[in-house]
Amino acid sequence: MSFRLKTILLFLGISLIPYALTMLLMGNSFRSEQYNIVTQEMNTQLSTSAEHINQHIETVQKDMAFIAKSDVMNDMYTQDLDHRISNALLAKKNDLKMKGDFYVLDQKERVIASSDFTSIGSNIHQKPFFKIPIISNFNQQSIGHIIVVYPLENFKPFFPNTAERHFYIRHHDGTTDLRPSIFDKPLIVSCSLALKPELTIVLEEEKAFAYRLLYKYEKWFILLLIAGALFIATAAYYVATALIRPVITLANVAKKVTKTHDYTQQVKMDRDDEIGQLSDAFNTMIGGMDTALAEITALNKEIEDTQREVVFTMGSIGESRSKETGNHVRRVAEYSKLLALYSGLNENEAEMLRQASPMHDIGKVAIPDAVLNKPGRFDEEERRIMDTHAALGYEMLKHSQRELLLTAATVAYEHHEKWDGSGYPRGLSGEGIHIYGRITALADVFDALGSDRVYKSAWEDERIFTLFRDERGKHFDPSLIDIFFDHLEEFLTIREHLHDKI
Amino acid sequence: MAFGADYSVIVSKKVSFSTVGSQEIRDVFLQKRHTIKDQKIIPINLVGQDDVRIAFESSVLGMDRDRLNTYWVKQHFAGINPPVTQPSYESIKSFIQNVDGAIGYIPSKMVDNNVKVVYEF
Amino acid sequence: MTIQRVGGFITLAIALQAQPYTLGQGLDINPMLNVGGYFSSDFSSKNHQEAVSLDDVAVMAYGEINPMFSYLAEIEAAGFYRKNISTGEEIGNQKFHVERLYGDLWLSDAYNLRFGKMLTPIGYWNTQPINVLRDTSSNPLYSMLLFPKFVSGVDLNGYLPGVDNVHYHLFAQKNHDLDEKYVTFPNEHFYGFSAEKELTNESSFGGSAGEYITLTHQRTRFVEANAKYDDSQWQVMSEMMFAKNDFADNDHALTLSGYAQGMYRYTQEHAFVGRYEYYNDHHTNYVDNIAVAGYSYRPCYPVSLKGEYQKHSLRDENTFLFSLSVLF
Repeated sequence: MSFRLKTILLFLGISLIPYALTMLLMGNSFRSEQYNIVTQEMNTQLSTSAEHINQHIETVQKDMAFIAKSDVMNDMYTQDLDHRISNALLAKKNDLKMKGDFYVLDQKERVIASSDFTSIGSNIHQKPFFKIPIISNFNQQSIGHIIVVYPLENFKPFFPNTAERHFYIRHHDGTTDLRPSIFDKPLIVSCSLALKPELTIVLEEEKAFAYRLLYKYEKWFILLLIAGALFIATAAYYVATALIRPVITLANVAKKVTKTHDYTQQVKMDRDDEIGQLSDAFNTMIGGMDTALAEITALNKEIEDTQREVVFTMGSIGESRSKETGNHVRRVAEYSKLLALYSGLNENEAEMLRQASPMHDIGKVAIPDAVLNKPGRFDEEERRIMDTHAALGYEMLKHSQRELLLTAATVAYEHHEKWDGSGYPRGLSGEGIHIYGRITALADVFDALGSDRVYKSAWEDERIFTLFRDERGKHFDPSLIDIFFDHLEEFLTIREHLHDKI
Repeated sequence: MAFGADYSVIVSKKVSFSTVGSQEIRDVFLQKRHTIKDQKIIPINLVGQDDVRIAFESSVLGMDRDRLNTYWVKQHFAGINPPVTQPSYESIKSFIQNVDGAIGYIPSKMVDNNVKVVYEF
Repeated sequence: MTIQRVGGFITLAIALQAQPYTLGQGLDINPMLNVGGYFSSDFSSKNHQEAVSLDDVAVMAYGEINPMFSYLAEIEAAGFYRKNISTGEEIGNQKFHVERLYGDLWLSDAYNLRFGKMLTPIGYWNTQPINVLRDTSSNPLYSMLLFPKFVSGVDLNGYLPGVDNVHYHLFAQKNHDLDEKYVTFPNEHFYGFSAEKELTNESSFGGSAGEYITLTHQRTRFVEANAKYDDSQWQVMSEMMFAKNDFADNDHALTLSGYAQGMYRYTQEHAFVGRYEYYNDHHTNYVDNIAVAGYSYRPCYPVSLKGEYQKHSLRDENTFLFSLSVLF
């Protein structure tokens, strides 16, 4: 995931989470505040209505109690013959502007008097809203009851209903009356009537209406949320871009340096802050690397030079015992390199051979002087001892881990092997002989034949060439012989340049 | 029943006594006494100024309207109410039948077996 | 209760009454509650001092709680307002005091127990003390100076068993008066017995005896007699009392007072009244003979307009009096 994307996501996360939380909390608290406000207002309205209703039915009850105690109740003994009670009940009903009727019942629940004259003489089956006993003035016993059948629609004038908010009555058993409509998940407040606790007045308001402000704001909240997110993402993108630019620059420079190995490159960044410090450090590091690299290179060169010199010197030391001149070693080295190059080896290999070649006779340090410097012919025993210098040289060098010395070991081991397998120490033949060995063999013999030795004097060139032709395919690798003759001039030039000084 | 008496003072059939003197009737209707022979008595007057009432007041109570008014005003000061009233003979009769000890007056021709006559005037 | 509620209440009460409201007989709300009241106002001229006053403003309520128990309560502000026309001086007392407050326990016609503060059941005048029920504006000295107007205690009354038509009272007070304000002789000790025989529908006579000890520890014993004749045209009544007052240092004194009053009802509305009073207090040697001539006009009985002239044997006591009073 790219830095920009990470930054954008991070910014969004960091800013939107608290934002969303805040919005949520605010929304919740606003909601509950709305709830409290609305329900409080509803409660106020409810208690006002309930108060009025309570007062009204209290009036009804008190009036009934008053009527129950009045003089005119004596007429119960005359079965209200003169309708004085009924007229009074009718007057009361009209005075209260009430729906429903009052009834005076005797002990047998038969109607003696009523505001509804047609009911006199019959029984009442509706449940009375209030029932108050009538006590006789003369003997203090109950002689009947005054009841009122009071339909709940009498409450209607006390219910200021609107489309979104309405009242209704709920009974103990859960049934309802005067309910204009059913609301879906409304806000509800209720209270029961003091005088009639089995009746509860319920006031409910449609939820959508109650929270209409909230819903309006909710939309805005969401819009703001989305806008905010977009803004933050955009800002994050640009911020990330700006932040990452120097890093990219640094990365690019680093890549370039690696690719071009040009450690002199510098990053240009004029900043005071930590990025500036980073680029300064980077520059310093590159510079340091450059310096170090130069040191290493120098050191490496020195090591190579040292190595070369050591090898050469060791070769010279080896040769010094046999009284060959130092330049013999050099010449052999040069002949070897040339031959290596023309026989297809690369520069490195050829150069390594050139540096290793002087060590080809290092085994001779283990040969006793008497044998080494005998002027005449060797006898068998001496020949054998002399021939051990190849193996000995190999033994001395084979343990090294330096490639140069290993090359020198190979050269020492195989420079006396012959193409036809008649060489020593192992009698390798053909291409079984390492190319280094074949090359060194030719180079060494060429220089040896062309130089004065203790046991012989230098041969003329023709004689050497004739030998080479004769030994092509026997002593020497035929292809090498061909190369030699193809580039004879160069070999002669080398001999010329590096001839022995007298 | 004396022949020719227009009005009768009646009580419920359930009371123990069968005749009453005018003095006793007077005392209960003036709310001076409340019993006759150990029966708690509830006197009933007729509303208004019907003949029966006028006759009752003059012959039994021995007071004319004005004197009675004066009497009741004085009694009002003393915290005494006049007797309860009923608006018609039927209701007086009905009341007397249903309330033991109620006593009232109705025209004699309305008397039937449901009530007992204790005095005539 | 709001005004509308009270109005509705009264309308309902009136609607539920068996008979319409009549003036002088109170508002019958229900058997347990009857409401009434009265007031009286007068104009007097004595010693060239003229005064006008609104006396006696009172409200009362009584009723029958159950067939055995009833009650009465009355509160009054006397001397409600008085203005001396000659001097321009105005005094008034709008504070209401408990005038009467008692309950009645009716056990039988022979025994009714009344307890509380009530009018002392002696004679005629004391039991009908208010202006509107009187036939003269003024009260005879007899009724004001001889015995406590009220008794706060118990009164056993009824028809004396075994005797024909004799109504008796047996009363006792052994405590402080309930609201002393209008009690003529506040006391803590008042006993008495009175009886009244009704001879005919028109005539009656009676008497009483008792004693009381005032708060100043003055003991008075009394004996009283009264008689009345009242028919449609004529009314004659008379009362007198002997009171023996004990003073400190073993001194006794007699007070004798009484009156005789006659009234001629010319018509139902108009009446002429004449009264002679005698008052003799041996202890202070205060003797007064008073002759009163009065005229009373009642358009209806509970409304009374009266005028009278009093001639005293003592100089400077002659008085002209006019009054208007109403009982509701």
